[in-house]
Order: sequence, then C-alpha cells, then structure tokens
Amino acid sequence: MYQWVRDWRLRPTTLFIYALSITILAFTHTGVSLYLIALLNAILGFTFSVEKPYLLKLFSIFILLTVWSVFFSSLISANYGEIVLTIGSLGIRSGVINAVINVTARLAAIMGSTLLFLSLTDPYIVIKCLENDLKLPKTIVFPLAYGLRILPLMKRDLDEINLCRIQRGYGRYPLSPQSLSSILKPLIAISLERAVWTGISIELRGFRYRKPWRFQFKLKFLDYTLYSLLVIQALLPFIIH
Amino acid sequence: MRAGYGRGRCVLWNTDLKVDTGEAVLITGGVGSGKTTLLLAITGVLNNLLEGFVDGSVEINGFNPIEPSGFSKIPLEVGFVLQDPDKQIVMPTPIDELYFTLENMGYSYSDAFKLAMDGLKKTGLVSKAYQHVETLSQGEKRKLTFIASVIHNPRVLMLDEPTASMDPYGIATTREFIRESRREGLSIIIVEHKKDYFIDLVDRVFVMSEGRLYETEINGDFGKNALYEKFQRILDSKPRDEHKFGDVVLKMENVSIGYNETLVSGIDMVVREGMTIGVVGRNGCGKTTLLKTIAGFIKPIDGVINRFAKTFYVPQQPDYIFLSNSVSGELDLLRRKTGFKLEDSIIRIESLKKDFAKSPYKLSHGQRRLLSLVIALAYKPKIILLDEPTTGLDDESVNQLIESIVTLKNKGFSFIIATHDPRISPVIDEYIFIDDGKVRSVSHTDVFRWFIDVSMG
Repeated sequence: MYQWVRDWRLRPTTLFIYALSITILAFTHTGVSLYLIALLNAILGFTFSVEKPYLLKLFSIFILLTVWSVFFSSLISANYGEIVLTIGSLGIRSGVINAVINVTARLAAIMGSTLLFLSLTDPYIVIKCLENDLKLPKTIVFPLAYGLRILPLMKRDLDEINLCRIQRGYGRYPLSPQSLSSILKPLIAISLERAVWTGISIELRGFRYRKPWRFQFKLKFLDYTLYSLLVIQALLPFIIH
Repeated sequence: MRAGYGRGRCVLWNTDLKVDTGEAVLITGGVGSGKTTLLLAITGVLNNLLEGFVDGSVEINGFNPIEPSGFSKIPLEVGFVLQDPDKQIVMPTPIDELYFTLENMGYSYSDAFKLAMDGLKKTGLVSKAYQHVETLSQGEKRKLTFIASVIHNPRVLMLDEPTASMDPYGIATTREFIRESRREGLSIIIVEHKKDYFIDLVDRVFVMSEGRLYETEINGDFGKNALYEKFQRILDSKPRDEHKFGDVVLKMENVSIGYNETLVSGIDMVVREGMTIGVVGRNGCGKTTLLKTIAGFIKPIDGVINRFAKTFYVPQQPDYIFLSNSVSGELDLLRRKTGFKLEDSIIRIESLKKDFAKSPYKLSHGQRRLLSLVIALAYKPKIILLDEPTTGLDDESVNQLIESIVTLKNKGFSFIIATHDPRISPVIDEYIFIDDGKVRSVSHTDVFRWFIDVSMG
C-alpha cells in the first residue's frame, strides 16, 4: 500500500484546508485578531520552512516587494491623518502606516500558513490526498501539485537569472520596478515555455484518462490539533471582544 | 500532410511518411526545419492542443490522431520522449513519475508497483526510487523519461532530440534504449540532428529541410571509424589561427572548487589573450562550477585565482540572460547600460536583423546563442565563459558560432568553453579534462576518442 498516503502524520488535506481558511480569515479579521493570526502563522510558517530555505527566500523576497509596493501606493492613495514621520520634505501620515501594517499582517498570515503547507508536504502526496480525501477534480489538483514540483526548478532559474542580472549591471536585490522586471520577464518566459511542454507531456501520457487510486484514511492527533487551532483563530474576534 | 501554427504559418509542406510495424526511422535536419513540428502533427498535439492546423491524413494503428476521438487514443499507443527531461518529468520522485502514467492508464496499484520497480531496476534507478528527481543527474533524468515513455507498453515510440543536452554517456544510454525498444518490436521515430550516432540503429533516414521531408539512402561508412574520420576532417579543414597569444589574463594555482565540499581539486590554468580553453568531462563533473568560480560567483574552496581582465559568463540556457520582450528592446537596453552601438558590433549579426521585433525567447537556438554573445561583448569583457554553447545547435549554427569565436580570438578575446561537443574543437587551443574530481590536460584526439568510444560503446 501507499504507506505515506495512509500513515502520513499530518494529512496534506488538513494543511490545505488550514491554509485556505487562514487566507479567508486574513481578510475577515481586523485589528488585534488580525495581528494575532499574522503573528502565529508567520512563526509557524517560518519555523517549519527552515529545512526548505529556498521557500523562505522566495517568500521573503515576495513579502519585501509587496510591502514596498504597498508603501509607495499608500503614499498616493492613503497619506492622510497625523504626520508620524518626516523624510526630507515628505511627511508620512498615519494612514500610510496603518495601510502598510494591515496589508503586511494579512500577507504574513497568508504566507505563514502557505509556508506551513508547502514545508510539510510533497507534491505527489498533495495530489493523492486532495484527490482521495476531498474528491477534488484533477483539473484543480494537478496544477496545484505541479506548481509545487516546479518550485526547485524556478529556484534554479532564479539563481541563474540573478547571476546574469548582476553581470548586466543590476543590483543583487530588486528594489526598483525596472530591477523587479528584469527578474520577472525571463522567469515568466521560461516558466511559461516549460509549462506548455509539460502540458503536452501529461496529455501524451493519458492525463485525460486519470482515475485515481483510492485509499482509506483516518485523521490523527496532529490533524485534530491543527483544526482546533483554526477554530480558535476563527473565533478570535469574539474571544477578544 | 501540411501543418503549421495558425493558418498563416505553414511549417510542413506535402509531407509523406510511412513507418511499418517494428521499423525504426531517423528524421534529421537543421534547427528550425520542422522536425519537432512533424512529431507534434503526427500525434495530433499540434491541432488538438496548440491551436495549429494539420491538413491531410495520419493513421497510427488504425486510428486518426488528428480527430479528437483518435487523439484520445494516442497515450495508449504512443510513448513520447521530449527533448528536455525537465519539461517531461512532472512528479517529484522517479517512482511517482512512473505511477503517474500507469495510474492514468487505469493500472491497479499492485500492478503499477511491480511494473514501476521492474522499470527502475532495469535502468539502475531503483535505489533512487523515492528520492526527489532534482537529486538525479541529467543522464538519470533522461533514463527516467525513457522508461516512463514505454512503461505502459505502447506500440509506437517517438523521440524528439533525445541527446540535446547529453554527454557521450547520455548518447550511449539513448542508443541502448533504442536497441532495447527495437528488440521489443516497437515502431520508432527518432528526431535528432546528431544523425551519425543513430544511423546504424535505424532502417531508414529522412532529412527535413524547410518543412519538406526527403528520404536519403544509407550508404558509406558509419559507426566509430566513420566518426573518427569525420572529426579529424573537421579539425583539419578549419586551420587553427596562427596568431600568438598575448598577455596572461587569468591564472589559477592549485584551485579547489565546489559548493561547501570539494568537487574538483588541483586546478592549475593559465589563460592568455586570444586563447581558448576547452573544459570537457561528463555531465555533473564540475564544468559549470569551474566557470562560475572563474566568473567570481562562487568562492574557490582553496587556491588562488588571479584575474587580470573582466569576465562574462554566458549560461547553457541563454534565455536567462535576456531581459527585454524584444530583440530591439535588448539592444536598446544594452545601449543605455553600456553605450553599445549596433554598427560597432564585432561579430556578424545579420541573422538577427530580420527578427528585431521578435521576443528573444522566440528566436531559434542559434539566434539566441548569437544574441547572448552580442550581449556579453557589449559589457567589454576580455574573458568570455561559455557553458555548453552548442547545445541544441545543428552543424550550420555551430559553424556560425565558430566563425564568431575566431573573429573575437583574433581581436584578443579569450574564451573558456565548458563542452562535451567535439564539433567546437577547431577553436579550442588547449583542452582540460575533469574526471573524478581531478583535472588533466588532454589532446584534441583524446577528446574525440573519449567522446566516440563512450557514446558508440
């Protein structure tokens, strides 16, 4: 039997449901309850992803870029309230700070739970469990699993692109839109080409016929623990109130 | 059959091909001649998945894959090997990769387990069955794609440039796989521009040229001796430039390289202006690591590297180097970053001019390689580090590359080229061979013999 499908200590399905639910909570919660779920999930995600440093690196870059983007867009759209900070002749008002904190907290909650999901699963196990446990259609399950499969390849692409960028006079870290674009353009072009050929590969290998093997399973202690943690986070606004 | 991508872009013209049961045919031809498109058309991928068109008729074992109903039968009847193993492998471990096909085809888990383990044993991958595929070497990934393509017992096998990024060991593996598939009675279509390594394994040979398919006679010598003679002719017909080398631009003394632990040790190398060093060895031996260490991206573990000139590293996949959506955008970016002017280009770029509006990612392999060289030169390096520059190039494109390198050598540029392709030999002044973590100097003849002996068995 598929030992790892039957005996997996924390089912990927549980982690998937957890990450999806936290993403929803990140948009429904505000104030202290939002900050608490952000803190908890960021700690959980970053702790469990220590063994997959490329994930940490990818997510850290993403958070950094998003926070910068939010900061600059808030300067235009939300620079109201009292002046909190002055940089040269530019006054940063409380509206900007609030916007940056709220978006960062939402992002931290989503990223943290996603990191937890990605760190504790492997692509094929996700495929098997989502197909098996949730009866999700293959057209949803496979793209998700393939996304996980190509992360190491994208990491390799990213490293090579960075070497080339540095030679071409760009800084190591993408701090401007042009610099960010110099990473994204080749990364997207290469990934798209790979995705097209992978699509051809799976079609030629009978993906359309896919009838997944089914396995019995039971939830275990760790699954119940994570579901309990999710319920507590969902009820946080009521508990705090 | 006529076929193409969209009504306005016909790639194949009046193509006729008949392959009998158990017959093996080789389709060769230059880059961009339409070889891959032919396979995509035959399998129905072109019109069913890629919004292309196929006029005429195709029949495989009694069904027409151009029709949607026939296309759905293709996975059962045809095993397909793609050019790049990374684009074919979709699962994280070798055993899951094999399960993927078998589960799709409706095999029970117990049958699939037995077939998958048998396949992995046959290819020597059984000890790596549950390891992540990214821990496999390029040759092992290739073996995995081979076994995954025939694990469900198809009657037809199609291979699209299976040795594109392979060293001679990969070519030997491919030859063995084709022999084995022939013994099993499969009908085989091989698309490959390195025809010399496969002629002895097939019944008929076709040449694809500008979208038309011509059958050619198999005559004359082929096999090891013919290859020795061919490579010697290549070397003899292109007289090495006689200019004297200039000052020392790079000196390495007792250098050890690797990521955290030593991969290659005891590297001593002196590179002078106008000199080209070829670095050979099997995939994964440390050729790329050496180039990246010379470029300064990786610190040497031990020893001293003295660089007296600027370096520029051009990766095996030139796409990594492009930053714009069009060739003209790339050149504009170069002008802004380096002051580059098109009219000052040292190498001939006529073949790029008609495609200035195109995305660099849509250019042919040869054009991409040329553009990457133009970009490298704009940054005014004196040492250019080329990683497997002939991957995916046909003989004509390799000759164009050689012409560019000779022009640059005569102007004092130095090259260090990581390669396992003897076709680039005419521009190499000295070869170093990396084997089992050690480096030694070898002659051109040694390289030819190594390549031919290993690949042809």
